Amino acid sequence: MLISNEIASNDQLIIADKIFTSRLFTGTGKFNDQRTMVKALQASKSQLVTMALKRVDMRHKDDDILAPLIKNGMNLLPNTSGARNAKEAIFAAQLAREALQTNWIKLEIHPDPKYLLPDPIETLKAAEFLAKEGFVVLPYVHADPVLCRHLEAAGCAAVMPLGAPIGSNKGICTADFLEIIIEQANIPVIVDAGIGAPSHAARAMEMGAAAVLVNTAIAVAGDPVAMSAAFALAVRAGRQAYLAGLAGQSHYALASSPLTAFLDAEQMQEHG
Amino acid sequence: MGNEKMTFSEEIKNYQWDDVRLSIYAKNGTDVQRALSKSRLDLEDFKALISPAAAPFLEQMAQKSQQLTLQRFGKTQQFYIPLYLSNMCSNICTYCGFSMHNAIRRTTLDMEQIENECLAIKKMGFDHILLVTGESERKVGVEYFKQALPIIKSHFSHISIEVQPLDQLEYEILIDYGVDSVLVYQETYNPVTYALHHLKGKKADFTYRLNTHDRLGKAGMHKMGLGCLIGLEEWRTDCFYVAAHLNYLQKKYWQSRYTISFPRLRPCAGGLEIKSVMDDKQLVQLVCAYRLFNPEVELSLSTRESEHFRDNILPLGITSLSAGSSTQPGGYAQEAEKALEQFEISDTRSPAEMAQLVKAQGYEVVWKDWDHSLTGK
Amino acid sequence: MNITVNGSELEIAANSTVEALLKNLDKPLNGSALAVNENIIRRSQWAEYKLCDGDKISLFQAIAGG
Repeated sequence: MLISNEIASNDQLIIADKIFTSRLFTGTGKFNDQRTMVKALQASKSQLVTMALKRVDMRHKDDDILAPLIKNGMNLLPNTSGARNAKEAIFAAQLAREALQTNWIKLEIHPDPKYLLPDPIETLKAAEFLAKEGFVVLPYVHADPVLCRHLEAAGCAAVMPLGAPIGSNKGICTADFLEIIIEQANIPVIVDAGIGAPSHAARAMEMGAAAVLVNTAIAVAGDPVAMSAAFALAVRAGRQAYLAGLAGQSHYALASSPLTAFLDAEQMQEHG
Repeated sequence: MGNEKMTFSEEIKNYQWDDVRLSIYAKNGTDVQRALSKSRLDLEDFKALISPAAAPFLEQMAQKSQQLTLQRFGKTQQFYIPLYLSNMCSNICTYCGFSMHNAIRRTTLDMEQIENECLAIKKMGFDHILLVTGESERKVGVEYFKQALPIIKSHFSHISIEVQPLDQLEYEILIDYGVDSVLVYQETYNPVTYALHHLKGKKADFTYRLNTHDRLGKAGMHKMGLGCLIGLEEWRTDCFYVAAHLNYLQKKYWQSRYTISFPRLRPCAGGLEIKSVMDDKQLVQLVCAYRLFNPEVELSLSTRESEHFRDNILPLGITSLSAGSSTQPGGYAQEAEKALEQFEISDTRSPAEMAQLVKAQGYEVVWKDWDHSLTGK
Repeated sequence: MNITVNGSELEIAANSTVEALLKNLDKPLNGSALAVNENIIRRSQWAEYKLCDGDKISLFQAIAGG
């Protein structure tokens, strides 16, 4: 927390060995084609991009998505999606480390194919193991404050609590819990999943999130490139508002019976 | 980034005394109003609430403080009683009746006396006890506590101690012997002023004392208390440091509970001139500020304050009270000859009287906090 | 010798290295990861690790995904 009212001129986000000046992280999935994906990511000015790992299809050549991303100076964050338990996630993380030559990993374990909600128990298990192995672990989890404390203690570099189920675009449904997580965390809190509109992203940033991760909302927009740029603006606006110190809402109407009148009567009696 | 080796003496370097003091006094009405309208306050908001600019907003602060306290604690007040085990002390502290250079009768309760005191206290209804000693490592140290604690534990379900700061290993031992909570007051967070008042003995080590709560947290102490002795230094600045300390500890030792006390300097044998006088209105402001900043922290009021004041501040944020206190060794089993009290008691009402008052104000007295029965101790 | 790659059978020269296999399949080295009989082979070893008859290879590639 700031200890003065000055707005930090150098608002950098440091996670493990990397420094970010953009707090909008993006995903590469669900775009209709690679060209659009690359243009949209460029418009986002994102410096961290997630991707998945899949078994190669022997019959035809998959696009090489890495080259254009690396060319644009984006850091790569492989995820373990597809893993349904800690063992599979650990295997995926190790594969990802070889494939991308990075020890950064987004831990994503969703055994439930309907809502894609993250498994807290398997995630914590995998995080403990991978952190010990020297990975930079960014776990995707439900907005559970106690779970986030355990993940921090396990050595994760950040936590990524969800705003709403993946792809739902419902926004920040978990606001109350995100606030608690942000208050209690000593590591960056990146709100991931469920962000459907730039206003959702701004809200997460106003709450004090270190960054947000947006994928679906950009990829399936009518104009992904324009939407991506809008998200970039929203994240900057939300962050600036947070740093400037928000006004807060007034909830309390003054009741009529005074609790402190006794002090006025007491003015003369000062115990020394 | 969470750093295992970091302690508060490192963290405190982020807060320079004079910068803090100036920024508190620079707060204005707008800052106060913003703090009042937020649901989650930060340290800057706390500064606004303890600044002079908050004085006109006292009623509003009190309303909100009362509301928050009710929501979190319900209509309850926890009762506890201090039992002074010893007034031996090897420190010289200018403000304290137990100071080594004061010619007072020194006594340490033996095991039989402790048993008698416990029996007398149980008759009054208490189940939460605060054991207090001076700071005399050799004569009243861990070995003494290891003897005394089993006796006391057999009578009380919750034991707090307020003794000399100990090492982490010693705290781990005391946890095994039944200590649930440890209170250590920094007295003042200003190291220069601290040195002026702590002239001799282990207490002169500012940093060791300052890092006590880190050692407690690492030892896994369930509950810890902090605070400053209001009046040694400019009170707003000193109390800010208490809030900053609490803030740091809660983030780091998140499985511990916290309690704050606000002892105001009172006359003692030494007749110390108080540097910064805090009047009653300001104490109310402080209590409300702590509550608004931290709806979950226990706020504890001792018998240092007068009857009239205690009655009126009770519903404004307080959650824990002592009653019927004796601040000399023993004092409950029999009408002991005065060995000299650590501080003068202003509210001398009995526990039964206090319980009646608390009930009359619409609160239930909690003699035993059931949270602890699950730990199996 | 015969090996399988992602379930498909393949015939390759005896004593082929992993690196040779990937070149053979026209797969980029960057972005690829590989396990032989469920053991991940580190990239630093690709030039030396020799495959054996009957090995089951799992080949992975980074792809678009959230």
